[in-house]
Amino acid sequence: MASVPEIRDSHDVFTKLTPEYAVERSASPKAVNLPGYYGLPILKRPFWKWEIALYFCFEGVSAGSYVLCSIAQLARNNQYNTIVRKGRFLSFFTMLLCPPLLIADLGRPGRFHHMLRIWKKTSPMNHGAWALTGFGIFCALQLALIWPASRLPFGSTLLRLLVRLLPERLVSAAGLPFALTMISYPGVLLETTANPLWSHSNYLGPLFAASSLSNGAAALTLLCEGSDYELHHRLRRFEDISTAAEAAALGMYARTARKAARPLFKGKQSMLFIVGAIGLGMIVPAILRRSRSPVLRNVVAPLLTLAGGAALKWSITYAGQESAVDSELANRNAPTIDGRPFWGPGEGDVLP
Amino acid sequence: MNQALVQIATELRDTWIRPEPPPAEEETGFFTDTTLCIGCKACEVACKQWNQLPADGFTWTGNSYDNTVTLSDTTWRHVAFVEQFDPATETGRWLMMSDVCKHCQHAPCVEVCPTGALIYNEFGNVYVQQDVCNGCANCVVGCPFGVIARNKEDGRAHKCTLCYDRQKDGLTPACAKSCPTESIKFGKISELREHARKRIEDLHARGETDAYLYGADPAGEYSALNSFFLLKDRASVYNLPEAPRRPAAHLKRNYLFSFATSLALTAVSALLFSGGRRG
Repeated sequence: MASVPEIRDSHDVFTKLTPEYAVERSASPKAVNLPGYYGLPILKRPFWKWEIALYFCFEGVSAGSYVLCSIAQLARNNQYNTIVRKGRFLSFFTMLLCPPLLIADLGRPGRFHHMLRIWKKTSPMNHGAWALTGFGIFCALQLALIWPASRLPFGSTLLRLLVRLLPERLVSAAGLPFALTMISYPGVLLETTANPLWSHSNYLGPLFAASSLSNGAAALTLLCEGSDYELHHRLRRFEDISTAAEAAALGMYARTARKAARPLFKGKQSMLFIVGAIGLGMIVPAILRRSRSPVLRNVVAPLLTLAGGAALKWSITYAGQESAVDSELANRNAPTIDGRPFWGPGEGDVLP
Repeated sequence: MNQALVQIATELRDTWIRPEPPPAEEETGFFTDTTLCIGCKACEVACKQWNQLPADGFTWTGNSYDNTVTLSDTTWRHVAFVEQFDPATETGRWLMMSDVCKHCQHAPCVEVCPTGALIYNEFGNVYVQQDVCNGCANCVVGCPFGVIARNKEDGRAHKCTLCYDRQKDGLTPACAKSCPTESIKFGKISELREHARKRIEDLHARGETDAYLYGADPAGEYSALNSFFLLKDRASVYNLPEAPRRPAAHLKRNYLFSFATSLALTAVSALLFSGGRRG
């Protein structure tokens, strides 16, 4: 009879009394190595839905038009005065739609100001909250600067004083960093997650940034009057270039995200993405911008660009839902070295 | 009316008040040895009881004895049941694992939390400050393990607290306390790691060479986990990611690409707008 070792604590029961404990491994390596756990998703579905998708659209138009207006203003070209004025209204009122959408998305809307409790280096949402605050202030300042002094609300002497003290161009330039952050951070916000579709490529940020700027240009084109021939022309040229950048970013995104981009091309959002965002939002407007008809060129094309931008941001936000439940991608979510997992047995079906 | 205003003003002021944090203690965590788990779910029940979490309802998955399916805002311990049987030989094995928040040393949820609600407490555990969380759900998409979730009823993010309240009083977390086989071990991280390594050596010496530690050490872009596991099959078999993503590891690069694009296009617009006729 084998001698039974002395047991000092409960843990020893398992370390000392079970030397022959050997559950037979399944004879079929295929069965042992069936991937996943009953096909259940590893990740949680994002809670970000239509509020966030719409926010991305509005803040893109708002910040995009702000940047272009500020650049036009800083170019010291007086022919832009009218469009800059109109652009300031556009930026302000589209910006005004953003906070309600963001607050509505929160689980505790009453605590929206907690975003501004701290400054956090690693949190794009925190950066975005500060950027939106700063951007909002500058949008309002710009409006105060161009608003006729006699029609300032409450006849505010303080505002009037402010308007006189602040040179317009200085305000324009000072607001630019905030507007540029508003353009650049939404893609990064999505990239800084564990969601495969959003995070597997570095080109979602550039895609969103280029889309926001082309949407800003499109919205400004709609505000131009028929006589602004040269301005129309310049905005169209800019839209061409930003759409080309958007297409390049999209191409690089598809190349680098590979399998992770699947929900955009084969999922529920694929129609909206391929037909809406790429076809009607990028290709058709690019053709229409070359049309001889001023209506097609200056009205239909920018409207399609705006709709396409909305389709792009909407489909990418919603495709994240499908991507989250893809266990295969969530499993190898980070760039691995030599395809090996971080912890555990290596690649292949045979356990060590 | 006046009182309500005062209350709002006080709450507003308190948002920015930062009390002195308690002095740091030695880091604690869990070591979950899945070779000892018998799938009794005492940990799930003890966790629910102590933390006063609602039940998940009497539903069955139909695929195993697992009826809570996943970790969630109201399920902070989840026992996974893996049945690996070969129909031809009718032999096989059971793998059971009590899953829990990994309490990562560089936790993505903490890194992305914009309010500072998610913190490392004095025991080095990842903790949601419920009075701060505003339910932005960024942590939900940040967690590569799918642990944290937002509650529908109260709108805030919830997950394992590593029984912060019990630790404060010098007690063992409810799940570890209730575990009849000590599959869940609670203790100081340094001691747990040492214990786990010995256990691995022991298992290997006895021929159980497929046993390995999941998360005891940093690997790839990911930090070590303060709640780590001893597993006997690939991590994905237990629904754990084999290569979890640490989103903030890519943050600088992401921002670089994004800002480069917006700045380049802004420069293009400057060239376009400055050329030609001048007023």
